[in-house]
Amino acid sequence: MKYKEDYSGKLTKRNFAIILFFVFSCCFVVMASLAKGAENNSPELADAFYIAQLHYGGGGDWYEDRTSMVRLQARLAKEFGMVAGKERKVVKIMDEELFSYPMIFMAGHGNVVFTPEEAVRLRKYFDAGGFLWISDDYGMDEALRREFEKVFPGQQFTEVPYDHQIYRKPYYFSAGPPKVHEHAGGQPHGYALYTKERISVFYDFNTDIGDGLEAPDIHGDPADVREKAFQMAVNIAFFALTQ
Amino acid sequence: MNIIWQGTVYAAIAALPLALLSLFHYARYLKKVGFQGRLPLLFRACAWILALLFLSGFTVMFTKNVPVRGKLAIILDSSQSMRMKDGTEKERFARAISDIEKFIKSRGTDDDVYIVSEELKKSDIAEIKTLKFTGAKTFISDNIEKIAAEEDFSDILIFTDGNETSGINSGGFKTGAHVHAMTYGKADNPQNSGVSDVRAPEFGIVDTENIVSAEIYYSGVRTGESIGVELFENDKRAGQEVLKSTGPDFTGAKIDFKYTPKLVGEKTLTVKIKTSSDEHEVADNSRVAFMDVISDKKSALYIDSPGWDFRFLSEFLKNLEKIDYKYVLMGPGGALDGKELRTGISDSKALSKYRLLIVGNAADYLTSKETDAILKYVEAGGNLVILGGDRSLFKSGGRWPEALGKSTFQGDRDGFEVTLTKNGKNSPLLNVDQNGECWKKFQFIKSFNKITSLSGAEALAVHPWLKCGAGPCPLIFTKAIGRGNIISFAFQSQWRWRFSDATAECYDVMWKNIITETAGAEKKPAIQIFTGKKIVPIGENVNININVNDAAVKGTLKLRMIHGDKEEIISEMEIEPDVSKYGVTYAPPDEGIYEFVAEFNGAASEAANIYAHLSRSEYKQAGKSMRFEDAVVKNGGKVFEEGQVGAAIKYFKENTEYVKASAPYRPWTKWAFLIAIIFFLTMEWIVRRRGGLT
Repeated sequence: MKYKEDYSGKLTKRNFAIILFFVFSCCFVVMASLAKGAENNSPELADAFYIAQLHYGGGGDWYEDRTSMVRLQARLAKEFGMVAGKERKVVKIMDEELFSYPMIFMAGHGNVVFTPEEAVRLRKYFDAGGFLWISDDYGMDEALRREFEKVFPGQQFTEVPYDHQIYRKPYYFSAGPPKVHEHAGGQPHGYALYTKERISVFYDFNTDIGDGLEAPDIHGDPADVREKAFQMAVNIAFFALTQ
Repeated sequence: MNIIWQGTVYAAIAALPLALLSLFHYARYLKKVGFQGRLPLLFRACAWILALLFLSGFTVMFTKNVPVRGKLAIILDSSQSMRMKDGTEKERFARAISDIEKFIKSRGTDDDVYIVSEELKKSDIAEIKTLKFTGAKTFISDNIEKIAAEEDFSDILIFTDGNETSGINSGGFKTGAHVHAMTYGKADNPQNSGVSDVRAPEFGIVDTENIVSAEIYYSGVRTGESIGVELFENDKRAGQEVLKSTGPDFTGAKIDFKYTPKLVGEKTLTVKIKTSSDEHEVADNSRVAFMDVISDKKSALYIDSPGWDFRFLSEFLKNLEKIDYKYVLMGPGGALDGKELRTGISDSKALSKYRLLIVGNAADYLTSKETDAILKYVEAGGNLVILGGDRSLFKSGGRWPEALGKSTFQGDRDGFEVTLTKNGKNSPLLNVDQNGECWKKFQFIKSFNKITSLSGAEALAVHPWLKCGAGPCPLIFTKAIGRGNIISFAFQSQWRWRFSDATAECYDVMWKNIITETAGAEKKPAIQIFTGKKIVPIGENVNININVNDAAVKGTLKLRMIHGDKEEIISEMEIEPDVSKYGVTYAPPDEGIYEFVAEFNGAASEAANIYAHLSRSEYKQAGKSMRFEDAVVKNGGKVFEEGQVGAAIKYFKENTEYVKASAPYRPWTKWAFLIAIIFFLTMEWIVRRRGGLT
């Protein structure tokens, strides 16, 4: 009976609370979907420029240089006027998304291992026009040389000559990549692997350009060193975008 | 030193014992009479020795340097011009006589000097009067060779006013004699070099070597001196050569430049004489030829900003064999790459050399003048491909919204499929495979320009659901503007189609279609202009012919002339129905390049150029004094200016040759020898008398 009374159509406090909750929920859903629609329709978020970080196998700390690409994307947006993303993108070699990023970035200290399937897919990525920038945080060299032998059989990393476009535009580096961090001592190096005559992999060794792009408080690098790192990174991206 | 006995040696030999016997007896006599001292004997002995030497007639031979002198002829020019005073009190003639007198006095009246001019008999100087006169041949230009032959002169010194001497051959005098000159009067040798002709092939091909030939004339340039000649392509120096003067004046000297054009377009090739401080006549120092440089490839220009669309399309275009591909990469601060090409973007005429223009996401970085020039390029018959984006031509102002419709840039994170219309499926541009599978496989588009109010366009692909007015939003469309065409992609990120293994080939086929349908298509221009001649003298009429290929349209045909800063319409005529050929005659009044452009109904022809030049009458022979000087120098002689008599004397002395020769010395021919004999005999007598002897 009490149920019937309740069902009689009187607006009790309980019913009012339920209705109010329902209305608020509807409003929330509508607003959320509107917000999502706005987000979807934002050109910036829809088709932005990203340099994805490669999540590779083998146990190495692939996640290093966490802020580097976001900061580089912002710098590129400023210099070239491109619409660049404001978040970090991570991609694995076997991900479908790999071919959404014509330029990817790789960093870390430890081991790197490519499975045979990954080596084939990477090769396909490079054949299609993809570009990989590796910034050695120290200790990757041996693993890199071993694993890229699987991707480019018979081809070794070769030093990029100092008069190459990658050191000339838009910033001028007369003696190869700038020095950011001391690793093994000696000169920094810029190595490359080629697909036909096109550079597919650029590998900075014994300098750590990637670390130079990180937020100032992470490594405490002086401003001029960080600026040089940014300039070199802009050159690498510019080369990848124009070669 | 040698001693030669030339006299009666036998008499001297015979007299020697007698002399010795005489001295022996004299010595005994002096001893017998008790004479103190031997001086008388000594004096007599000396006298006898000298007497014996006198009898023998000895000659001492010395070796010394002896000058070798040929015959020197001194000529005084007595032509009428030598009567000029040059602002002095004396005539040139009198001044020359005075110099000859100084010369003869200083040099000495040796028997190798001949005076040719009888005029010099007027001189009061004794040395001159003693010289041999050979005749009255004083008009030197006619007689140098004859004079030299008559007495076999080795040197001829002419006192003349060289700048008034006519008829001198620049090749020199035909004689082996060295001809020298002392000149009077002011030299008049204006240096004048010029280009009389330039020839270049009418057509050239990019990166292929051509020869540009120039004909040079010059005067007043001494033999061996250099004349710099430069070749300019438009205003940029393209070559440099040096011409060595072979005489004071010359016409028809040929210089060939190797010229390899790097860019297509009509080139104005100017050959210029390099500026020289000695040159007073600077007119006519350059001539022009025109070369239409073409490419065996179709040229395409791509303007974009850094991004993946540029990266992948640029790589595709680079690899097309028949496309001469160039790009300008723009950023917020200006051109990042291809800066040298950017200057051409603001000029629709400069753009007209491109068969295809592609403008991507960079229009925001172009000036309104540049975007306007791109529209004019299309109107004049150009082909334009637009790639959409937030900075594309869809965002441009000016007349662009009228051409492309109003648009807003929108994004869609989930993306959408580009849907071909019926026209699109049949379009040769988008027909990339037989069954249309490619268009189903292409990755979704995530950002695009939503276009409203587009009219006169043919939509080839549309948004699958979004409406723009009555119909779906166009994504790919073509539109004719003026005589040109636009193919527009209202979206960006086509790179995804190229980067995907599944659709890379589809992307390539689509772009090959676009290139073939645009850059490969030959179009007859609406209006063409030709000139009868390219190079004309100032004032000569040139026929300018205009072809109107759209004769059905009525309107006013205008002929615009541009010359330096001057620009004017020189002819206006109403187009008559079905008449396509029109002609105008024009006589260029000044030196330089004249550019003619025919304009009709908003279309303009390509420019036709002519070059008007001075006639060759500016060329004159070198000044007479320089011609004379050149002849003298070629005859191994030297020219002295008036007042340099001392220098002339010094020159002749220094240039006299000497040989080693024996010179005789004959003491017995000298009075001193006899006086010595008398002296010794007198002294002997005095000493003997003072000693008490008789």
